[in-house]
Amino acid sequence: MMKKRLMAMCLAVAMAAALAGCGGTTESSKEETKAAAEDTGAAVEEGEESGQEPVEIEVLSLTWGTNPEPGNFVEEKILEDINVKLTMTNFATGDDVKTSLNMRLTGNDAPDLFYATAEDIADYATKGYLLPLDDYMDKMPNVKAIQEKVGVIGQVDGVQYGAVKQPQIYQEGYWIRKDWLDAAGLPMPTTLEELISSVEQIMNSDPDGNGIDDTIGITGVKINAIMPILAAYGVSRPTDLIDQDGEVVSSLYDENYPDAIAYIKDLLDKGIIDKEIMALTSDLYKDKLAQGLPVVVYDSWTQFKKPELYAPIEENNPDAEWVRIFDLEGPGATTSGLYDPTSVGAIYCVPAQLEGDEEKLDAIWRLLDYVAADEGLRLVSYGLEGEHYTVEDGTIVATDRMATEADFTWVYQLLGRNEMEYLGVKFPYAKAEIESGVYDRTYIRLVNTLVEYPDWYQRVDAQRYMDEEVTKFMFGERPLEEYDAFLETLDSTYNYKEFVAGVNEYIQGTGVLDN
Amino acid sequence: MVRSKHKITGERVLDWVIYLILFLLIIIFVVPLLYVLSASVTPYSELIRRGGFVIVPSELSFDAYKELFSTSLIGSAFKNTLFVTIAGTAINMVLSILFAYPLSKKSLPGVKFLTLMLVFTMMFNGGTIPTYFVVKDTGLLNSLWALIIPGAIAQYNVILLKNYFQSMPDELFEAATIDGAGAFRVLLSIAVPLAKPIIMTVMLLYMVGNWNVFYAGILYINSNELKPLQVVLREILMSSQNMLNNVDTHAPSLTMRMAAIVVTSVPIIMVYPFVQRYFIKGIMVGAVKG
Repeated sequence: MMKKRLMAMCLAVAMAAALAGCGGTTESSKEETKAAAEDTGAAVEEGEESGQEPVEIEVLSLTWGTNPEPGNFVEEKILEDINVKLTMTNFATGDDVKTSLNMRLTGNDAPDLFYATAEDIADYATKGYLLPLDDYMDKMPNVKAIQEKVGVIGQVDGVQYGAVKQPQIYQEGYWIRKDWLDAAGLPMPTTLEELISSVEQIMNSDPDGNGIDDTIGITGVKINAIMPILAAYGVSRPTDLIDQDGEVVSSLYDENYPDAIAYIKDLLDKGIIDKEIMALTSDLYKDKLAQGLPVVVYDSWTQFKKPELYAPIEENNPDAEWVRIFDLEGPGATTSGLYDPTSVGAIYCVPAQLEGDEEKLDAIWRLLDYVAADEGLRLVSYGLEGEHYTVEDGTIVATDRMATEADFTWVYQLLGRNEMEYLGVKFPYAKAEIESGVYDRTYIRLVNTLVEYPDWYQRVDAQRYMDEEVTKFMFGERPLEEYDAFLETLDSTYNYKEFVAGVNEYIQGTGVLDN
Repeated sequence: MVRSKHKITGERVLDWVIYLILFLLIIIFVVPLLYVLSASVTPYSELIRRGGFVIVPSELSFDAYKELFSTSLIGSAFKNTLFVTIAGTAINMVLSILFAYPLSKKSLPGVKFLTLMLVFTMMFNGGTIPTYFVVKDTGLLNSLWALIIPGAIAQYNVILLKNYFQSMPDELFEAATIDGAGAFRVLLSIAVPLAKPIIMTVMLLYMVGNWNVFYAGILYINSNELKPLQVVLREILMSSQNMLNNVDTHAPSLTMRMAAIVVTSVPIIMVYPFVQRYFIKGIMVGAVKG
């Protein structure tokens, strides 16, 4: 009997132990897409294709869970206007896109047009999966006009492999509880010093008056939360490459970098920066925000201006007033953050297997050119004229039906849109916020999307090393005195300096930085 | 048994220690499930106010479920998965039994070779890409059958069934044959009813596998309306992570995500109580006899 019981206890303990072993989290990588808005150029109208059988085109895309009904008015109008029968294959995450696409490219069963990132393109192009588009660009004047603006993006070794979806505007930064600032009699901070002292003062004064010391100083999702501080020191995140007076450099070598780390470490130690930032997912962060805990957060205007996103925050914190902080002056620079104007949302590629299938290729060029400008662009931006929008004195005005019936059309914006016009029409209530984020602001320019990675460079390992070590420095897990040793390892193990020099040479050669 | 009324102290203490550990384990297992269920029926604003963790909501709200079924693909996905589970499991069972039963007969010519082939394909399979080619060239791509046919027979389950059939005394089958039963009659009237424990067990394994089909759904299905439940569930869960920069969409709320988890897990969890009593018996009995 005793033996049996002992056995039973062992089993119970084993179950508990097994359970304890089931830890671990999966982190979804967050794709950075921040960029500027520009107007598309003039366009050439499409020829009529009526009378012929429609050409079927399958587009594989990343739509983050938005799945428009097949045969909706956008697809109908596209069929009517350019005789292309469009089928969308949508995925909710970049990983799923890659899983499906890798299989289909290998299996010679690729979609006719598919989503890729700048990094994917290099990989696919080397494997010979992509059709070079250079010879066809003349058939797509609207696409060509966009391409001339975005420069070398979508190219590998000077060959154009993709049609680029135009960058969106930069929309993130520090936001501060203005109502708490006012209550404490503090002005809007303009320097990093002021910001930190204001935050500290507010934190210590129990601004929500609940009698609990639960106010968080600065928070945000992972390293985003400290990006404006890095920027104020004139530096960037560890893995970024930046444009410094026309030279591409890594700011890890900047003399301000260790200072910035030391400053951030101090703020983390004092609890002014939320110690949990590295563990925060966007959900956990939003929980904190909705509970009214933080004084300063790193976020996008959408969070505070879009009613459906702001509602849960407002319900719990009716007095909260969030205001964006711009042009923060720090020891290294006065900036509004880090910004990659060439960070494109997507690049659309055509599989090499379609080479020679002129009918299909023509249909693809028609489709791309159609959604790139004029009528087609308006269709994928706003819906149908007269139903979802009207044009008054050359300005687009949304009807009531736009928000409810044409909220999915962005899925078809393969080449992007007229960003400022678009945001103005769709979010008229946030126009001021959006415009103030764009005009007359200085940013530290990132060049990440322009980088071509040489084969010898162990990108994933090197980036992980940089991220991990800098995080260790910040959180005091590695003494800052070892910063030089860290840089040495970076060079000796990953040849990082050589890599950066190569990137600089390449990007200088493209002339993109002159813009 | 009389002794058990007068347990010695050491035994009693051990009993209590076991109860305590198991009780803690029950809490550890049940609380997350309860949390998901509670969060799905809590009003979103209350959930936020209470820090995202609610076990007993102050009021019930089914808004999350309404939102889930009106804005996502979960409705069609549910139908697809239901079809794959019902039709798929039926096909799995018919094929597996028809495969396992003959293999259990030593008198079958080439039985050793066939068994070897079975085990061989369990150890070495075609791999993802060749399988994709087969699926593509047989015209199954982008159809629900692609989620059923390629995995119609799971070798391990066939071995379980085969071992169980083998454990039955040959005399039974001989008696039935003498009474005039044909091969199929023997299978249907003698072997299958006697093998109920293992058949229920294998059916449960297949069912759960079919219900949870995910990777095949990513690989072989392109149309939204054909996506299985797990793919859509993942889309709902993941899309909230990735969208800080997309001004056009907004992430599904926490309550909606919890509702999605409930809708995708509860049906298959409900199957377990009905089949569980066969479960242990089925696997053990088949396993002992090699």
